[in-house]
Amino acid sequence: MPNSFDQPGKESFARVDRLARHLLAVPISFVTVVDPVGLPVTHLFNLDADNNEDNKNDRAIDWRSLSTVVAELTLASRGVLEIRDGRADQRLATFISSSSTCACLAEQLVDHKGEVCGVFGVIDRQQRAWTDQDRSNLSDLSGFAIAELERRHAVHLKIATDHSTEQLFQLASALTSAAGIEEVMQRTSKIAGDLVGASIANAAVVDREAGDMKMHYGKSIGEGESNRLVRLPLNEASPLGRAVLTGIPVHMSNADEIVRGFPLEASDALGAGLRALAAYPTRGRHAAIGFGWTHPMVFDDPLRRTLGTVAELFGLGLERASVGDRDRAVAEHLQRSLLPGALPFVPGAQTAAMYEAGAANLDVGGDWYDIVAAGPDRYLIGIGDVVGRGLHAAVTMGQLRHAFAALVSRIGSLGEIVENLDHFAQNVEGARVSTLVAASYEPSTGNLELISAGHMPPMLHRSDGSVTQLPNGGPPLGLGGDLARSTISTALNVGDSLWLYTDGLVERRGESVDVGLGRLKEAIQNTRADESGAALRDVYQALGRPVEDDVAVLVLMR
Amino acid sequence: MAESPHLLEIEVIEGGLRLSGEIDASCIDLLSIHLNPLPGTTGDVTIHLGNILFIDSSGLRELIDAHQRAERTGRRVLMTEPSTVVTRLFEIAGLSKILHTLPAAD
Repeated sequence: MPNSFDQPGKESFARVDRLARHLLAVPISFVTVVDPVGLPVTHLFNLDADNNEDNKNDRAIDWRSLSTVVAELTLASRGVLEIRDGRADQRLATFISSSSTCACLAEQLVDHKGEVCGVFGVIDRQQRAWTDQDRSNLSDLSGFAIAELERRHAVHLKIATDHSTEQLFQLASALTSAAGIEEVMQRTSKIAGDLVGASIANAAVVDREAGDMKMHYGKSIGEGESNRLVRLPLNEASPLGRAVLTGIPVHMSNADEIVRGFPLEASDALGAGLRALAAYPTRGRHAAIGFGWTHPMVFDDPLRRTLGTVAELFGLGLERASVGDRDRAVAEHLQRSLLPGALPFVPGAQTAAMYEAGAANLDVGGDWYDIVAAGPDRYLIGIGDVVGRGLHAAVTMGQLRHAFAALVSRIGSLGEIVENLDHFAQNVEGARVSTLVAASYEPSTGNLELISAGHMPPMLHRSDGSVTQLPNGGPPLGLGGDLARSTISTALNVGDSLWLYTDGLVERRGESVDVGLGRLKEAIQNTRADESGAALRDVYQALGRPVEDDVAVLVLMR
Repeated sequence: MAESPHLLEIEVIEGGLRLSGEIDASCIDLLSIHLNPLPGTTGDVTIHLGNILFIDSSGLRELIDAHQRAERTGRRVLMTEPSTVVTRLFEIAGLSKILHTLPAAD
């Protein structure tokens, strides 16, 4: 179960704790781990065995609360916190009895990427005039704590990925053989519900004409409720509705949050025994999956990643299920992919994208694209190609695409995002040697930065009619080693467009890829359409595609 | 166009393999058998790519895997006389500085 992976084990830090207590001559040390998504802090208070009795029986100081407060103060101080006499400090008074005092020395932990990942600190039972040697020792110990955190994080990532990956394959497998939209909903809610240990799981698909949602209870607490299809109003009063309407996942970690977040539904949910809820929208917000647990939940990174991937697979399953008859579907699918609303609105620009799975079989391939808003004047665009087809590629593609979006929300620099995806690809077998172009676009200026990892070169169509093929990039993701990839900086002026695509658009048997690239440049140059969807259609139709390969194309027009 | 399953010919030569035809997902298992484990036990492994007319991402991955497998045991995989198709794909995929390629002597 995901939860068993999220707590860094106490034994991981036991050594650091022992060293700290010895070097700094203190009874207590603590480590606080900041949740990478920036939400609740996980606080580890390490009461080592030989100290247990002393500390446990110490009524004079509420160590646990004290250490939590010290951690919070340290984070707020953005550096090192030093308290020589706790009794004299207003902020700590509540936790110390009047006849006692304490002293604290704590430091913010910053990882190699420059992100705050926690706090390491020590507390003494008496006043202390902390010395330079103490500060230096703390600094060294913090270094060990960071290394431990990073090692643990890497292991978590691997464990969480391996564990949930297997079950995600099961889900992907079940969805591939699903016969229709209802079966996709049924299977997703049932399997995903089991995967995340939820007592309640439901899947909903938006019916925009009727203005509501069709919801399927895949898993529920009461008898006789499962496998029912019901209609739910499309509004923000329910987690599913809110997820679909806002496009943002909903997480309610405990009863209080449920009551505050969903006052109208709270009494039903709590009455049914639920203490935590989550709802994730699919890409394009056509649907959502929802889960309920009968105990409070910690929505940590691995769990969010899993839930996000389930939502990706659900969305893919729905798309595939609605394809049905191939001939009609090609045209319809193309149409649907070009509809506005599938991509976020980018100020001052038009976007259009399409994905066409290889027609040789109904297996989806590993091509993906995404546009994610990263701030009021910044959009991250990604396109990628996971090697292979079928289940593995589909799952990996979902994970990679989700990782991209999650990283964009946390990390500012394009280079770091790609570096993180590189790291991700090293840890997820199916993602090795996948390719990527990541671009950062600033609507107010048209400034564009791009990094390519082994991917087909983007094309820039200027308003003067010229088409430029951007330089080759660095190697594909996941190869390990210190692989630098250069960043291309340019700008889209009004009337210019950026074209991103996957190799299926330009690779043909028996000819060098340059021939296909030339054909693409010509097709882009020949488009007269000034509407992104029409331009996309023109180019795609001019090139055609090989029977068995996938194609994804994305155009950003200013 | 009818698809024949084995468009790839693999010839075992001294020190490695000579590949001819097309490398794609349909024949990747066949290639994998010849590269995993690597031919021979020590020394460089030669993969002659002069007659490759097409290679897709799964083919590239297989070659990269072989390259990395060799590195781990202190050996090298030498991609010799790569055809234009292959050379261009290596360049676009940012692999030119990573893989050991030996173009044909003019």
